[in-house]
Amino acid sequence: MRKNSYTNAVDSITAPNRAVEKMLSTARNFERKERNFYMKRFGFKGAIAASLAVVIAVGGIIGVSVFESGRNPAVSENSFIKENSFVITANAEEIGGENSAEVCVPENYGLSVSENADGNVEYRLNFSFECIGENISTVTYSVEKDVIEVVCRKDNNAIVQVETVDQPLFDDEYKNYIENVPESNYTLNRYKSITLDYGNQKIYDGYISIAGVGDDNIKANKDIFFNGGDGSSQGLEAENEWLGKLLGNIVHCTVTFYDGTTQTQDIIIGTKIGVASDTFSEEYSKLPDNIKEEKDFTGVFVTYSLA
Amino acid sequence: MAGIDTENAESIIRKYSDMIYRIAVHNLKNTADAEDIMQEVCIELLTKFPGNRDDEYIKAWLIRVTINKCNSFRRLVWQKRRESLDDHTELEAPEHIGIMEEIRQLPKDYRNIIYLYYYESYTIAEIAEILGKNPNTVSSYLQRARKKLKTILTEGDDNNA
Repeated sequence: MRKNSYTNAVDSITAPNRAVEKMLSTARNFERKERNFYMKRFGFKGAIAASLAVVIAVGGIIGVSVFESGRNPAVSENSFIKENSFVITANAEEIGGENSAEVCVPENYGLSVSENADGNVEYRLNFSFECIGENISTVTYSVEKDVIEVVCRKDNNAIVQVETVDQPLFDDEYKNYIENVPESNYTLNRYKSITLDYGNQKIYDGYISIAGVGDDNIKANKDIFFNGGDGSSQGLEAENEWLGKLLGNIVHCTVTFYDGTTQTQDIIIGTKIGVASDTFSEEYSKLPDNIKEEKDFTGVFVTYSLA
Repeated sequence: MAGIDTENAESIIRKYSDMIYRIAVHNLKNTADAEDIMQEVCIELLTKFPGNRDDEYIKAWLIRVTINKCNSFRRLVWQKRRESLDDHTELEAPEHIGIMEEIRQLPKDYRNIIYLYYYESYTIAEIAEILGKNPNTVSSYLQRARKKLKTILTEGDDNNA
């Protein structure tokens, strides 16, 4: 434990005996009911487990087969080769003209904004893009401004090609943490562009962000964001403008097909003032009535749209 | 089959009841509600815990369940109103009351991260995994909280109450 005044204070918070005894009593009484339940069903456990194992195995084989034939026509003689095209998704939602995917601000939905040691404003926006299409070999992303930050295992880097970049403005406390703690097997690098294999677009055991450091104007007006605003329309307008300047960007997405041709689409990253219940209408409609009111709010949202 | 037997449940409850209570107090600020959360976590343990796991898994699972239960608790509007009227925790030492009051001024997510980092000694990567957040988000929360709580979080400063 990291000893300090805080941890000393937490030490002094202990569960009341009555609450612990109540938990223990619940556990003892519960067990008596559960034991009977298990005994009644015990005879079926082996058969159910065996059936489940078969289903999982078949499902796994089908999944691999469909996936492989879809991404590589060379392994499937009868695969239907569509005209080269692709769509881009953000957070699994297709980005397109009027159908722009939106990510909620603040951090719970993938945006982190913080001050570094010099008082500059750093941001990291979770890189949630994925290209979906037929006959695609690789996907290359490049950013108009700022960088693509990749944290991945040193022995398992999914990036197949990069264009490196130097970003001296970044406070490297986090990079040092990632790379220098004794047990770390991770590395953090910043790129202007990255190329990913189509079948390996998501980094498991790591992550990709678009990251940047705000300019002096952003720094001078950071209280607009960090003070959280007053909820007024003027406050939201100011926050929207500030965040738009910080995050505003264009991501160039180029796919290379197996026949060697390429196609590029540009994703515009922006912000807008919106209402949660409209922005997340599908998810919102599923909420119980008693929490809809609390979940709804007017705020600044990050938007993705095609150029 | 989800759930856990009595012997293991009792052992886990005795070992982690303080931790569950502390997390609940960090999230709810109210001792009576925190005790209710303990009971709810106990039921989850008995009915939904995916058995035969190691101690680290059990601990992380309990942290997640406790925070989720607190979040559900907080969603009720009437509960939020009640919280503001009944905002106290029983602490014996007066200097500790002031420290916990400072902690309570932080957003809820900050409090959980501060607790897991400083008290439970989890790394940023581990906290990110437990809370289901981006490590960068955890890192930036931690940095911001450190700035706000510089005095009480100074390492090795045991007498700085």
